[in-house]
Amino acid sequence: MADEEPLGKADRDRLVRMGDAFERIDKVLFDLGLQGLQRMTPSSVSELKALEQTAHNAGMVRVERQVETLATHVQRYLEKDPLFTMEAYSTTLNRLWLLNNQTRRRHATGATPDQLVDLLGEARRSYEELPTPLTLQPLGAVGWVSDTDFVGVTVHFWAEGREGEPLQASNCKPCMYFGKDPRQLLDESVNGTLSVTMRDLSHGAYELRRAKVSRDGRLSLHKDLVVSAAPYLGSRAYSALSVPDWSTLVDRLRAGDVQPVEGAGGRHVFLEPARWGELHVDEKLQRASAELGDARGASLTLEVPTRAENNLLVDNLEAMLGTRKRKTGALPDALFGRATVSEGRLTFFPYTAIFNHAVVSSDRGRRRVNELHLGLESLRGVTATER
Amino acid sequence: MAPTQPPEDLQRALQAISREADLLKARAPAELSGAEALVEVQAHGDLVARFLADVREALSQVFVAGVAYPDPELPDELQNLGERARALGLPTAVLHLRSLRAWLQAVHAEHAPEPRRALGSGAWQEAQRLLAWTRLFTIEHDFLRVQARLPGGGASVARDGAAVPTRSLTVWPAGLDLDASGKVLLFARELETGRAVVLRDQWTDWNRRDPLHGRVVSRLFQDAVDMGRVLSGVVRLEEHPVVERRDEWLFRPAFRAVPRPLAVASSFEPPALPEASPGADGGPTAEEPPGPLALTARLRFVGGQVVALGASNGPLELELSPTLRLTWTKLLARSPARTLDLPLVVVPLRDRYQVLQQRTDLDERVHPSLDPTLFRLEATRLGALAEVSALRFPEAPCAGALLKLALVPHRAWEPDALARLLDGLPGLVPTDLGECWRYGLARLLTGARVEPEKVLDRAREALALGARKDDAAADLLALARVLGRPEGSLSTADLRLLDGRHLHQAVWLVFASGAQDTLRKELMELSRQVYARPAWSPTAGHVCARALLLAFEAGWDGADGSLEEKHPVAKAREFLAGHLADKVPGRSKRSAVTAEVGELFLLADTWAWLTGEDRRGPTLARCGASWERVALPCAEWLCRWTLDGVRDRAGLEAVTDALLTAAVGGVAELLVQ
Repeated sequence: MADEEPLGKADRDRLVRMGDAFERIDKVLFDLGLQGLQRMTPSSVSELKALEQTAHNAGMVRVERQVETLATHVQRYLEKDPLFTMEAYSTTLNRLWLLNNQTRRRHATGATPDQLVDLLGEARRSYEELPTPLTLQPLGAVGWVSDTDFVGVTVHFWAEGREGEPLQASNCKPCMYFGKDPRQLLDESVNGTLSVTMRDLSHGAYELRRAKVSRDGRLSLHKDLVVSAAPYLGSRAYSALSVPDWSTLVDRLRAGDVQPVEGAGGRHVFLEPARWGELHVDEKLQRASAELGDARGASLTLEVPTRAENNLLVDNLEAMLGTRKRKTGALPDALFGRATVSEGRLTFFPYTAIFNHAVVSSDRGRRRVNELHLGLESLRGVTATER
Repeated sequence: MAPTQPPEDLQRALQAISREADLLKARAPAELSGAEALVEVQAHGDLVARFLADVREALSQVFVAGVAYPDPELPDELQNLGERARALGLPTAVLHLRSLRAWLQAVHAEHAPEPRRALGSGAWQEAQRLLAWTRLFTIEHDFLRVQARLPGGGASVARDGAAVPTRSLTVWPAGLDLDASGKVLLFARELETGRAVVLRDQWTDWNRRDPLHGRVVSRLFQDAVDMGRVLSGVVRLEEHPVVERRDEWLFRPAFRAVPRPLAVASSFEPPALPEASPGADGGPTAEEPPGPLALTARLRFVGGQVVALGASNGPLELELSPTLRLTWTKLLARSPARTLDLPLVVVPLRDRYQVLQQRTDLDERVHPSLDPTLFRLEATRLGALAEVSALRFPEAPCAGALLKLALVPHRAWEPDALARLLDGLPGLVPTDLGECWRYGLARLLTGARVEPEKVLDRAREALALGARKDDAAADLLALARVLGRPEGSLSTADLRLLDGRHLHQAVWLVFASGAQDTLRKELMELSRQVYARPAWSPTAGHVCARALLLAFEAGWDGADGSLEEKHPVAKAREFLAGHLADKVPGRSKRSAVTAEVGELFLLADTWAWLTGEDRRGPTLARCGASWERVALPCAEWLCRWTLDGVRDRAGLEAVTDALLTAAVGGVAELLVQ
């Protein structure tokens, strides 16, 4: 490695701070483990807050965030908050211990901060401009409201050369000023400069020049982006995410979730149910669900929390799966969304309904589309195109 | 923290535990296949789940009580869990559970604080290792349990929902109809049965002037395709969703099925087509079959326009789009006859026929409604015609020279002829104002200066006549010289012949020859007498003259203008822009009445002058002119010229104007090759 550039002073100092941080984190965790939860006091929380700062100063962002979470758990325990659970506390503790050890081992091999970025994390996402144009086709789009009071729309894309690893682009605003309905963001310009809206980006196919992508698959909608039309690939864009049956789906989920520190928490998939159950709304559990069957007779649960931002989604699912008559008179052929295994159940949150035969959506003018984003576009006024 | 070194007896105990775990691993069966793992989970999944929950519970006690003060009963519990782990065949769990037990027992037995703390560190590390294993194993086990509950094998379940009809076939595309939004109807016939087929498509990103050359982003083909090549072959559809109408099948862009364009051999013959049978009004009848039909049309050039007639010269209702008019005008222009019979492929649309295709003399199949580059006129032929036309008007040598110069970009001249043309220019002596102006234009096109001594006399006279206060005092001899009429042949009534065109030519010449300061007084007088009054008619000539004078009044010196807001020409440019919106075809929806071809050239030239653009470039195109509405009138003039020659000097000038306008309109390459 004689021809590698020597590290700058900032990086060298950071590596030193990391070395100190490993020891300090070990010591604090051990001290907490030694005394046990029942002997913790508010000063334990203070100590964890100080540890956060140590991790922050060393640029150990992932560790910092786990310490912050751990402090929250301890605070809840001290306040006898019913939100405290031992499982969540011990899991966070263990993740932190593992992460600290993994990072220390790699640090000991002489890795530079750049080489450690997967373990260290980034305080602020950084984007790299791609040297060649990027061809995209939207797979699905979803509206959301975060716990930190932001409302947003995220579009997930197939990207040429990154099949199986969808990119995503989001437009989000504070709820305080923009309300809690994600649909309000759908017809806004993606960046205030381009005439392309999020709705436009969520249908069709595009070639992006000067595209910037982050390590974790986020696409920047910056003001210098150049967007032009590209050929629509139809079903080919979904082929890498398609599963023939639910058993294969579970295999794929397992590969991403059985990870020591943190699993993927599910993945995006393209499902073609052979059987569609009726939608049931459980007011007590605050969720709407339906059973979807695969061609081999297995079932998974389509499940949607009945929060306000999901009202349109639930309406659409009722129209699709309930007993109410729909003008199109047909179910979609497939769904795109996020599948997870949790609490021993295979569940699926749908973003987008896909129709082999295009339908005409009357939202903002009559568009002929193969995909309808269930949380953002209404099935009312959708008509079949064949006459 | 440095790893804790256990005391000797603990070390021995841990080593024994490790050996035992290794033995267990060695005796454990080989790794199970996926199916075996599922069977195992189905059989013992509940037991394992309870075991894992109990391990978590035991660890919870460690985290609550702390490793410094372990529950004295916890080691026994860990012992039991270790036995359960052994029974379940989980050697790693056995290792960690028994190791943790050993550490906790050592902590419990030690009373001195520091050694106790050190032993607590070992216990803490072991607890974390056990928890990590438990977490990972729980996740994996949960997945297996979920998967084991899914039924496997067995017969497939039929899908919900009605099946959509599909068809597999090969079609011959006859042609297509394209609208401005990119909606396309591709009309075809099935190769096997001759059935009428329509393929719908949606294009994005195509060359709007020339859609059959270059690639279009096609929704139907899910690719960027060369539609010219698609139309020259056949298209194969495999299990493509279809809507079956009575006499026609409709295929739309699908999600899965993608048609494939296929090339054909040169010997390929398209299927025989039914004959169209127009009704008495020349349009399709109700009994007309759908799909591409054969039809022969007779083309004529009448009243300066192309006209399509049916057989026996009866009426024929064809969709004569601007592109179709353009291509057929050129076809007639290069034909020796004034009448042509064309074998066409058409499709009936309500009350008229859409032309999809025609066969040329060379047996090629072309698409005249879509391809504006068809049937271009040969530059060398036009050059020969220009020689003949110029010779007919020896009194207007500058007009003749300008006509020939207008063909130079099309390489109409051999190098020798071109050299002679250019060498002869300085020797020309323009007589009337029109000749002076054309001389000036000719010098502009060759990048040479306009000599004031050759042009200013006529310009000055025209300015004076234009600025006259009293018709009775007008210099009629000067008028005759300006208009190129015999002296003494004009009266005051003929002063009306001096129009905006002449005033523009005069003003143009003053600036082009750099004489604006010399003739400042005359220019200002003209401005006062004509344009300061409200009632002047905004013809193109007047508008251009006024624009140049406005610029001059603001301090412009006749050199190139600028788009800068504070430049002297800014006000003049705004004035001209307002009139451009009205007169340039396609620039605004209001411009239903197109300015004459020659007037378009004046407007484009003046705009380029005031904005600093290249005056020989496609300025009119950059003003937003619709290329179709510029190309067609230019083509019609060229057609008149080739069919009838030029009968008078006005005709000669009009043909020249058509060529010049085509150049500034950016459509020259559509007309001449």
